[in-house]
Amino acid sequence: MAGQIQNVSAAEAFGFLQSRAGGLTKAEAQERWREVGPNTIEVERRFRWLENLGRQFTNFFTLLLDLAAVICFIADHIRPGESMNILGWALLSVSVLNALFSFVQEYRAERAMEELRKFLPQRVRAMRGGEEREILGSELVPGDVLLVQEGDRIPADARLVVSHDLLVNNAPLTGESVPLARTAEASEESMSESDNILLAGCSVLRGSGRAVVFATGFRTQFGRIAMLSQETRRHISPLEQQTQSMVRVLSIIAVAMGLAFFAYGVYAGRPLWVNLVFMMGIIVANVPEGLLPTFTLSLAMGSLRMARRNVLVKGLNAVESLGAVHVICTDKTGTLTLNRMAVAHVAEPLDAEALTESHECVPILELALAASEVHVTRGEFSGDPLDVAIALRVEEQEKDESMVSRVDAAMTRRFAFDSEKRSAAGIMTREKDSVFALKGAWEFLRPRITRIASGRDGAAGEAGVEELERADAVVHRLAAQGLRVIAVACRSLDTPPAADAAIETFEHDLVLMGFLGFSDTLRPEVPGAVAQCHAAGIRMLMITGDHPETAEAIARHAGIVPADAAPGSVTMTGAELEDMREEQLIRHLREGVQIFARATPEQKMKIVAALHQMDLVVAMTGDGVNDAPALKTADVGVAMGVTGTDVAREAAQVILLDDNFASIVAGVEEGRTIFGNIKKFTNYVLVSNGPEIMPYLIYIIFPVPLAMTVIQILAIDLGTDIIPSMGLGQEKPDPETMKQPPRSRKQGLLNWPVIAHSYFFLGLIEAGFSLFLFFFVLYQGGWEWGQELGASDPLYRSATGITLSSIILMQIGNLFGRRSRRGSGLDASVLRNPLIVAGIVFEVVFSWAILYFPPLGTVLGTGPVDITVYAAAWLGVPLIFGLDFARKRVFAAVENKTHMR
Amino acid sequence: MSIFFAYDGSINNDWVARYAIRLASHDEDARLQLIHVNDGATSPEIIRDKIARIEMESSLMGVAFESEILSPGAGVAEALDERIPPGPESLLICGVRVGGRGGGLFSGTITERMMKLGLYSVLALRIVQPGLLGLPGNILVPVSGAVEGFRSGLSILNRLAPDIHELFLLRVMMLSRGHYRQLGDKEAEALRREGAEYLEEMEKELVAAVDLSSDRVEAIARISDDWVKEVLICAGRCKSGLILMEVPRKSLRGKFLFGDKTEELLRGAPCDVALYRGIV
Repeated sequence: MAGQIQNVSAAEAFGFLQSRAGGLTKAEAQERWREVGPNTIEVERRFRWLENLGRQFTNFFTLLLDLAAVICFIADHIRPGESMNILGWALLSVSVLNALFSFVQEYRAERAMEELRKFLPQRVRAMRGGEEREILGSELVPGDVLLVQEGDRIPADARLVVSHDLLVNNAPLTGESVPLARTAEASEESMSESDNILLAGCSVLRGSGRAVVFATGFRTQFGRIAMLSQETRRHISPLEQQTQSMVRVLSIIAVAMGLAFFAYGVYAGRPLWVNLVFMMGIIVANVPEGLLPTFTLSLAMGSLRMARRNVLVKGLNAVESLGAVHVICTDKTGTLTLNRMAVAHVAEPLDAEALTESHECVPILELALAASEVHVTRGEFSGDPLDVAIALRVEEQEKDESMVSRVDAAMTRRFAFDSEKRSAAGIMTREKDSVFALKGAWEFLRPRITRIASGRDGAAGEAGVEELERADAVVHRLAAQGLRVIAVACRSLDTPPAADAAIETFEHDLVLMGFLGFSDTLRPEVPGAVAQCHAAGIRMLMITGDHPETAEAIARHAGIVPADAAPGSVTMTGAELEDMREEQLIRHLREGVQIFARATPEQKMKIVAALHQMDLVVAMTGDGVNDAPALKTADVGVAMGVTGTDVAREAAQVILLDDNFASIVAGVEEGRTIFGNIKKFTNYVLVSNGPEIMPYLIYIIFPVPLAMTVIQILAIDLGTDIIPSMGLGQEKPDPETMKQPPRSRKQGLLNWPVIAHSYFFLGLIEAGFSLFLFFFVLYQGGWEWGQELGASDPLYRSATGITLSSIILMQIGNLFGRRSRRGSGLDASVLRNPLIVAGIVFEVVFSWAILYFPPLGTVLGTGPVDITVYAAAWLGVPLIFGLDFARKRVFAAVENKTHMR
Repeated sequence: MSIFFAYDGSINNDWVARYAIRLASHDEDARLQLIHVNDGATSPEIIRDKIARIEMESSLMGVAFESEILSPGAGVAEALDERIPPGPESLLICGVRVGGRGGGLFSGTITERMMKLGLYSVLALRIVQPGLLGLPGNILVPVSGAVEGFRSGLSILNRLAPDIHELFLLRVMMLSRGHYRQLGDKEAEALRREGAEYLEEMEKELVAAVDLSSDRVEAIARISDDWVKEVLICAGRCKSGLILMEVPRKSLRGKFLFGDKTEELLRGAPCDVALYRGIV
């Protein structure tokens, strides 16, 4: 056994796969089908969706809401008529909606598989039992003999046994859309490099053939991409992580407090129903029920704003994840550059200086054009981007459109681009002589050069070692300028060539005529966006299939690589990366490697994995089918909207509608703004928890009525707090947003400063003032210390009414304060945020209506108070705002002092 | 070492034969002993032809080949047990294929029974990439915390080593689902370090015992709540042609809570899988 299936002859391949030219028998195919299963790319996992759904319904927050709902139903069962069942249903609805929303988000991610499935044909032609049959693609098994022809998609990995002029396109796997010739001869290469292998998902461009299948389903190379896209789990997003942590902390506090006071109530001899309601009140007061729905709304609105900046966000968490990225791994072509090639430099063989005179450039360009294939469609050139660039340069240099057609008319033969040789050629007639023109990679042309046309007169001299080394230096110098270099050579043919002569018969004794340097223009907005990234502390890595020097030059132009970095010091090649261990890669990344040149899309996953080991949040761009696993692995997968494949778009969370790097940076700014705003409204919402909890603590310790009922708490959490929170979620970006380093994964939404500020400063102010009004109304109404009041007692209803009303009004003062971390928050732009205005209006109206609008009073158990008391409640607004502003000034003064020291 | 190949005449076993021949070719004796227990499932003529083909392939690889057809007597497993001398010097190679009780690939099969007996080393292969012809190129070796299990497979790895392009050692630090979802950064870092240190030791042992230079070995530590998923992802990423691992030791509790992970791995693997239970 010489090696693998590609290394043996076609006849041996049949033998090793226990097959034959006439194909498998029905029994053989059935036996193999039982062994390896259907030729489909999904890993069969039953009830996967049920598992996902179950996971959404069992997270901590959902369980907590469910528990609160159950307590409500129990309380309603024990003591009907207190509307506890309504509360139970409300809590259950919030829980179910949250879980379903998350489930739908996750389910959408599975759609990448649907797009991948489209690459495999439904029906295929195969030999079975000695006859040609059309069978379902899913029925193919190893050993089946497959028949392919032009236009077919290849359904499985197969070894060619017969090939008639077969050309395939392996773009779904390689990302390079170039025709590749395929033969049935044995190869010495590895499986992926062999020219006798057909790969699933790829297509036949020309010719026909027969191949024996050796791998099916997710065991094919294409299937592995599908499997990785399906199985790879995206890292939990920073926001999810922080939300989970916050919910966990709040839930633990809520449940612990609830249980402690339940136990105390039992010990104090209060009735069970009272203790249950009390426990639930504590839990409900501690849990900000409206926070998660507000998160969702805020992210949804953020995604709309991003769409206006050409960043289409598919998953809501990605809106904020983009703002948390530490590293952006970007492609070069099309993302940093315009993907529009132009001949930027024409040089003679031994001198890198640019030729500008027409008579110097045109002979080189004419030969390059002869080795190109350009068509004119509706007055525009079409064809390979390099060929089109040559034609455009000829037109520009000659100021004459007819030269292209003249060269075209002079052509007698064309040799299409050969991806292995990386060259193209043609034969043209010039002044009755035939000239063979060849253009391509210098590495291919160099050994075939025997003379060099040096000097401005173009006289050809011998190509000795020294001359070839000088030509090498020219190539390096042009590449170092970021140019893609193509060598142009020719050979005069003494006799007209035979019509079927192979190209190899002409590829010798060539005269090197010169070099063309192509540049892909940098997008004009990229340097600015890169500078923004630097200011924002975001690291950029370029991953490209280009030559290292070309890649580095572009990176320098864009500003990705520091100007003082030594050449090559920040560049690593795909070959080096391939042989590198993860820890070595991490070390190189820490040492400052920023460019991965000659890298393949498959290597992107290795880079992402290393960056994840460094605890960094990674955004990764991609456009090809084989980019899908990397897009799924990254924290934020960014697909190209214009040039990207459907598979890449489905695997990614973010789609750039204009393929522009600058749009990613705009997305980062938006994401950071959203996180800042989430912090603002989280702080805002938590403040009202203080006055919600305090009445329960006082109630359990002192012989006083309960100042706030559960329904009233929910009226704030799921009612009046929502619109102002949404308003804070829509605040404009802070000018400092893109001047701060990315936040650490460890930086949470809920930390001690936030808890202290929300609960022990602003929360206490709100609690103190609202309880003051509560007892003021009670004493004014003739209540005496220790006296019990029924829930329907008008005095009790008025007292709880003013408590609720004053908390809602004070939240207006809190709202202004939250708009700015250092400033007052009272500036002209308040009016430019319609949601904040709407929130304030709603709070004002609601604070009045709960007292003076009887239907609402009936639902919430509130009653009217004297208008002067209501007016006094308004004093809470300047009180909380003023004290908070004073705190800000004190903190600013302390900070300044520290800074001065 | 005596290498025995339990051949049942199935297509999977035809493909397993390539691995058996290659393993034998790297043995000092370069000898392969094929045993077929004639249970009547395949006609004798077909079996004869197929054995002749394996013999031919063996001779091409310079492997001395012997074959024996046994009558089943009390059963296939018993017949094999009687024939194979117990002890660490015997290695039984067999296939893992559809046909176990309840449709399992491994669970309830004769192969599982032979491994449980622990009389000699057993290597069971499931082939889904017959085109590799027993030359997997890259190999993924997931290791658990049981060092003995890893050591018992070194003799098999030694025979595979000459054909290995790159070997990936994978250690999955397992957590419960709830724990994994709430995992903090510090704990994750500590687990990763623990995994990396463990692998470092394993790698040292591997390089010392097996003819593999350390530049052909890569160690990968991952944290997960689902080791099978991590193995499958890693196999895809490393372009492994073969996953080689010790058969997980199942507990009733584990099976009840997490299902049969060996079956899940065998069904979901994108490449060939070799399960072993070695004795030292």
